[in-house]
Amino acid sequence: MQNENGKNSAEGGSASGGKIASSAALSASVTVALITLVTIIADLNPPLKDWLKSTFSHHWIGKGVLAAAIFIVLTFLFRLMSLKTDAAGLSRKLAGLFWVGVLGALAIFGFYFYEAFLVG
Amino acid sequence: MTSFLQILLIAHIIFGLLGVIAFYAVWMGLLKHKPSPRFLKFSSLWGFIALVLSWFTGGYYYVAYYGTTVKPVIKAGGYPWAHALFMEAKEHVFLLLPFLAAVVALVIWFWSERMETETATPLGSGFQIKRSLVLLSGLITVLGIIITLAGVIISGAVR
Repeated sequence: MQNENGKNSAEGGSASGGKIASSAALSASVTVALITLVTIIADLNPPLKDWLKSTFSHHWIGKGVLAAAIFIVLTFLFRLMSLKTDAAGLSRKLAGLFWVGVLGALAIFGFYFYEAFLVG
Repeated sequence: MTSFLQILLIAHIIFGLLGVIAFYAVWMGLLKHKPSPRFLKFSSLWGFIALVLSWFTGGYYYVAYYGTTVKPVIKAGGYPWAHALFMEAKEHVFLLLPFLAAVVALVIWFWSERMETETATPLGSGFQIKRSLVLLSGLITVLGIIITLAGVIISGAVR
């Protein structure tokens, strides 16, 4: 499928669906990066963990609720912005999400390995 | 442990395994020369739903029971690292999975019909999207298996 610029569109049969998929891919990258950062920072910075506990009853619930809210809000914000939704743009966003996911998981495992075995 | 919490724990394991199996099916389905859009849509959607259900059931069990009853036993036992490393990493890496799964399901839902026509050229954008979906569904599967094995280690550490 060709768009008005002659590029392959990632939108398929539904233009809004393609834009949401593209926006969700970018939003998920930001969300995964934030989950990783908040997880590590909250463990090193007790006031942040205490705030998550006092606000959401448990730090894990706080991280989950914040992550879901950020993902949904950013997906719709990116959807409203005129992001490129051609196939090449979507491909780059998906590849970016893959690497953010790999690095996020490695950072979390690495951090807790350090906390469990290398810190007294 | 109450029977309600036992049911939640079993549901968490079953939904988690179903989610991993579904994304393994998506991974293998995408590697086919001619992927079936219907199969990919079905598997990715149910995989996403299963992971979210595993999130909620496991989360309730973790917050209501694990932290107050199981965690102290593990920390006082012979394998405190089972909590310090495996439980801590498992509960936080698990937070990532539904978002990765949602994106894979959304992209497959809106793009899979055109997979046969747009993946013919190895350097084409359609091929690149398919390759990224292969990597993402593979990542969800591998992380899911690691989380499952972490759960086995944590269960073993309590006994």
